[in-house]
Amino acid sequence: MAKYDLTNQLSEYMDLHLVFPLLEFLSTRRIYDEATLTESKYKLLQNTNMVDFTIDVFKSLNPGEEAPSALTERREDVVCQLNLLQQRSSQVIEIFSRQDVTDVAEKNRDSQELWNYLSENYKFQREQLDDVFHYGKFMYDVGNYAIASSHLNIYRNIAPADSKFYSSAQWGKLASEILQQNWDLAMDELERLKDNIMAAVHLTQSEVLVQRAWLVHWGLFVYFNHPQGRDKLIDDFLHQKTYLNAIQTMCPHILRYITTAVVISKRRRDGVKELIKVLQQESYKDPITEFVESLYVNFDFDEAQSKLKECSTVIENDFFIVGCLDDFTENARLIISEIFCRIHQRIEIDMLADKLNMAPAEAEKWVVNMIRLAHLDAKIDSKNGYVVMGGTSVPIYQKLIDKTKDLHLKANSCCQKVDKKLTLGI
Amino acid sequence: PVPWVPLGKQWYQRRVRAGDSSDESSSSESEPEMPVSRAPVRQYTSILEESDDEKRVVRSSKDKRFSEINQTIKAIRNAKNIKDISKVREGYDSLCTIYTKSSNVIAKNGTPKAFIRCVADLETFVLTLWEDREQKSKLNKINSKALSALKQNVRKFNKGFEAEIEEYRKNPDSYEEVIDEEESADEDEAEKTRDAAKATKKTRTSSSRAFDDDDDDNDDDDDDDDDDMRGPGMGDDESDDSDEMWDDSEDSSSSDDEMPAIGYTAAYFLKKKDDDKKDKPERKKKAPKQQARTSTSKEEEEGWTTVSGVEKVAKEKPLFEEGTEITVDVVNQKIAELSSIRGRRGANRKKNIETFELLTETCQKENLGTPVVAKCLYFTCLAIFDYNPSMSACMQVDIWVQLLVTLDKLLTLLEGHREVHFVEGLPDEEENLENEEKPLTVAGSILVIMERTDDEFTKLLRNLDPHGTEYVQRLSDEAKLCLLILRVKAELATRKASNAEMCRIYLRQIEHLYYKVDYAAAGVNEEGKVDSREKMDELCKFIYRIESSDHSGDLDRIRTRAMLCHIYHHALHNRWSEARDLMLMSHLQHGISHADIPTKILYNRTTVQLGLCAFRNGYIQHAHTTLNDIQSSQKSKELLAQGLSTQRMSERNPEQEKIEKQRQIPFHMHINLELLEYSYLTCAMLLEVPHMAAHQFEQRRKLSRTFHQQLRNADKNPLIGPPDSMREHLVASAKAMMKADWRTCADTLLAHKIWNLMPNAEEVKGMLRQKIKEESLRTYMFTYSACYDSISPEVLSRMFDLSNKQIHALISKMILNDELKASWDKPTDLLILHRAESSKLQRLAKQTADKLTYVMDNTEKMLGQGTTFTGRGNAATGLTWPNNIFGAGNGTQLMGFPMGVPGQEQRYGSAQNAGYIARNRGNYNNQGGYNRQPYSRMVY
Repeated sequence: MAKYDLTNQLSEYMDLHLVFPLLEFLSTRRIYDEATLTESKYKLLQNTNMVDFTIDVFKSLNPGEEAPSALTERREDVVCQLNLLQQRSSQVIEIFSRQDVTDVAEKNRDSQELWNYLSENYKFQREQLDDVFHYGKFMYDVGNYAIASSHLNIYRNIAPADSKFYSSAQWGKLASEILQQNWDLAMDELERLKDNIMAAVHLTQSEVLVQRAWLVHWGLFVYFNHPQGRDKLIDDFLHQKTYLNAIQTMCPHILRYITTAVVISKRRRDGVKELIKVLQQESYKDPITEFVESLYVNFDFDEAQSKLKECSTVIENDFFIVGCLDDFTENARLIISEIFCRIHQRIEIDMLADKLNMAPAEAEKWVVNMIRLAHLDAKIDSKNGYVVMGGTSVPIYQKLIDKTKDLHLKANSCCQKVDKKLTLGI
Repeated sequence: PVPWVPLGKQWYQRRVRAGDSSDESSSSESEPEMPVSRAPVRQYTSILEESDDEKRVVRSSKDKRFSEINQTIKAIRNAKNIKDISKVREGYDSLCTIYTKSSNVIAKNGTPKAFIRCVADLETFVLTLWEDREQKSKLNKINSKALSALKQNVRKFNKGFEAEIEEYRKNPDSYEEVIDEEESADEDEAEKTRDAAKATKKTRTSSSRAFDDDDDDNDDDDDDDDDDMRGPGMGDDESDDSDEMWDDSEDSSSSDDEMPAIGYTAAYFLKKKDDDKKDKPERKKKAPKQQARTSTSKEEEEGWTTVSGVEKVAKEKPLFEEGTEITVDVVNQKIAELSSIRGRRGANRKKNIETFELLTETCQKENLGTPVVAKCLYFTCLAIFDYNPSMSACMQVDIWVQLLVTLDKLLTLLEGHREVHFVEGLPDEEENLENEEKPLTVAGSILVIMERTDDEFTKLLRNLDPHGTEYVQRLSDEAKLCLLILRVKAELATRKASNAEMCRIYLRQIEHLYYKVDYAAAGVNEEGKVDSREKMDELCKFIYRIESSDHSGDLDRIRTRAMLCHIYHHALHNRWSEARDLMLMSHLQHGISHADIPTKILYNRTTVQLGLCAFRNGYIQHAHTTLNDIQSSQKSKELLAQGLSTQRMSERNPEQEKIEKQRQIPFHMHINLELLEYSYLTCAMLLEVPHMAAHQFEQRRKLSRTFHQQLRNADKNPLIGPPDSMREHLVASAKAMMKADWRTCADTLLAHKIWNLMPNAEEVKGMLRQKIKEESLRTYMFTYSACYDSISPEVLSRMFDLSNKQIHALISKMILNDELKASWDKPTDLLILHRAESSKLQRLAKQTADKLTYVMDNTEKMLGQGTTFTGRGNAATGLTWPNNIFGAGNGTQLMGFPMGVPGQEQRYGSAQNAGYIARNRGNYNNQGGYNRQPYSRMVY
């Protein structure tokens, strides 16, 4: 199933550290050769400061061999640097752990006042603040995301929005939260970043585009883990032109996730139309998008069914949506049956079961459930094993009534308006 | 009235007499290019201008003013001699104006003697003429009128100079003397700055004049008398005999100081200088020089005599051999001299070219070094460009061939000598033609030459009959031209040309490539051929990659054009999604209305090509939307610059027509308009026929007016025969489709041979057949579904030759879109049609309801503010055509560029990284947002 694996494309827009979870996941799925995976993980790790982890990976890669001296030397370096940075930022941390500072920080939302307070009472310097950032960044590189997150938080709270590392700190914070799996916090960060990108005036359009693409990718972690994530994903990506454009421009593979979210979503109807339009424009294809297309564009149920089977394998192998497999299957069935029922008068239950990938008895139960929950206006002809649909067409009289119903209300309101004008005007 | 022609001869004769070695310059010369009926005055003007030119290098405001005065004086004299009083008057008026204008100069330097002389002479002239009744009566109305006016003016104006005139009358000689000195002073100055060996033509002119002066000072009366006799003769090429005759007349002409012969310029007065101050050796030195001078100068001196071209060449060559001191400087000077007459009216352009070629040859012979030769070649090209007096006219074929050859030579030279650089905008003084230590530079730009050549080529083709063999012959030059462009590109690249320049040459290359169908890519495989797609990608990407740092409009324009060409090329080769993506991503439609007209035309062409591409790919809806605009405008010819539509001729004035003609695209680049129209109408038919069937009882919204127009026109015909023309084919097939007779429809439609013009005709035909089946099925269902209670898909499948599955999908689609009231009955496998067909009463009731809603809405609107109800939607006609992605304005796409793989090194938020990706990904400017505008709008 490596054909539909997106890790390669995704990692292009991910932070180094965010790629590790993906790689870990891949190694459990066993669709790639374990050794090459570890190998690439090792290569990645060399760019980080997580030297211990690197050494571990090296050992698993080359069992019995000692870690190369470069790594051990590197370890020394890192520790050395760490101490240095820690020393330099400890002062600031100490200041921030004081009661009065926290009070002021809580009282004043505005970073400027806090800054003033600090510089008055503690002779706080801009350089000291940068130290905090560097320490945070270093901790992130080392893999200590909690400390990184807290330091970056401090930095971001004080530093004015135009400072050098401000946006870096924000991205760093988001990454730290994601890696700590604090989904609520991460969601907040995501929102903040979104506002920031929106407000960024100093970026060129292409930079904005790239930042949006990053946001979309990093956001996948959040959206598919946060309880309301899926609906938000639809709102943010499908209904917001700017992000949709970024996706179409830079990373059409994200359409897979949008499609999945739309299929799962309860408010599917809103999204589907929009999604279909986008899908038809894009040349990106995978079983999930093809499934939707075959249903809504080609009305080819056989194809839809075969795609649905493929979908489950794709979903199983995708880090982000692996948790949505059941939801997806369930909803996909619902969609199929919905459309199927709309264009049919009578259907054999066996056939329906076949289309839905179910056993006939199960399918019958399922139909009964649907009828009971008023998803479906139908009855079961149990003797022949048919599902008989209710009346589909609206009688012409009903249409006329619907059409003219408003007229009465409207005429009334018009009359009132005329009255009002008469009394006011004369 | 052309005394100067004999003068030239005389001068020559005198020289022979004097034993000058350079006597090879025969006095006669052929003038093949000279219009026979050229006005003599013009000739004079050219002389005057020329002598003016020579002084150009160092000229104070005084010189300028004075030379202006001198020129006018000459003109007056000329006019006087031919008794063209109105000309004299004109000249006199302008003389007065100049005099007043230059009053401050005059105040400083005193009134120029020549001026006084002229004024005085004029007075005498006018008075004599006025007195001479007989003469006066001969004058025509205009001239006699001018004469009286002139008399008045002269009297009035001359009052201010009475003293001077008086003095002049007393002592005319002193005046000549003084002027001479002035002139020679000028000359000295000029000579200081130049090489002494390069005495200017003026000097020569003056010397020649001076010689003649002796005899001719007094030729006034006779001259006048001779006028009538000479008049007719002067237009013809003079034979030696007539020359002789003129000579005689000249010689015998009276010597009247007050009325000097025409053509006696300021140089006239130089005689004394030549006589008195110049020693023979010096003049000898000058002689070779003079002969090498421009053809114009020759024309001036020998213009009316005949000599063959061969003779001339033979005559000129020795000049250089003889001049041992021919150096880079000399050549350089000559070029400057020659080029200074560029664009002058009197200049003989043909000869100019020859002169430059000769010069080149000589330089090569003399081994003056590559830069000089390059410069000469360069100027030859310029001279060739100058050959045509107007920008609109095209080159003659032989000149064109010559241009190609010259350019080829120039390039070969440059390729052999990489150390020589052409620098645009370099002042002449900073040129470095010799000094080997410093970089060798020549002022000029091969790029400009190349561009100009390319433009000329287009012009040439535009003016040829596209169906003639000549056109094909010239078209074969394109290969050479492309090769030249390629070589120029290579040259520019090795010489490290600026990005903007590289872009320009790249664009030229692109523009020779984009409209050509790459048959190799289309299936005919030829070994060793580069895929034009790759080529195109490579070229365009080069341009995209150049950051327009200064946002110069020029670079933006190049980028726009490159993009349009790129899109065109994609579209031409059926790469629909690439073409569309590029179009949508490029934001071109936003700025195109501000673009220049050629770019707009290119935009229109691209849009049309995109529409055709959509059509070929079966995106009927897109094709229709895209092509609708151009077809409904009735101006497709103008919009695409492919000719002028006839019926609108009356609305266009000749001026406009001329301009439009200049924009025309050469025939071989045309988009076939017939094919365009047929494709469009086919799209319209495929969309409109089912649409009409679906809404036969409702007031329908027309999708395509043009299509309906065709139908209406056909209905007007009393007799319908078998289809012949393209439109008849279409109407016939549309009629068949209305009856859901797909076979007839498809056969009629596809019978027309125009489809063969499509690059992949068979595929397109297959696609169309399929579409016709589908749309016929839809039409059938719309029209006849009311007659069925149920229908089996097998029957439909047989009727429309579609598979069961296709029928199923199509009808399901119709059901889901609420177009068809029906449902499938699976157990019996039948399509059950619900009786949705309403009775007439019901239909009328529905219409009434619609109208009521409409009235209601209007009333609400009138009452103002919007407590509107949302229930309006279902009152509408219920049209739900699939939304077109362009028209609806939600077109979005990305650019299909190979992206550099940024590797796994993203750091959070580092802007550098962002930039890196952006550069790889976003080769377009400003791709932050995507178009919301339909691109299908034509640009007018």
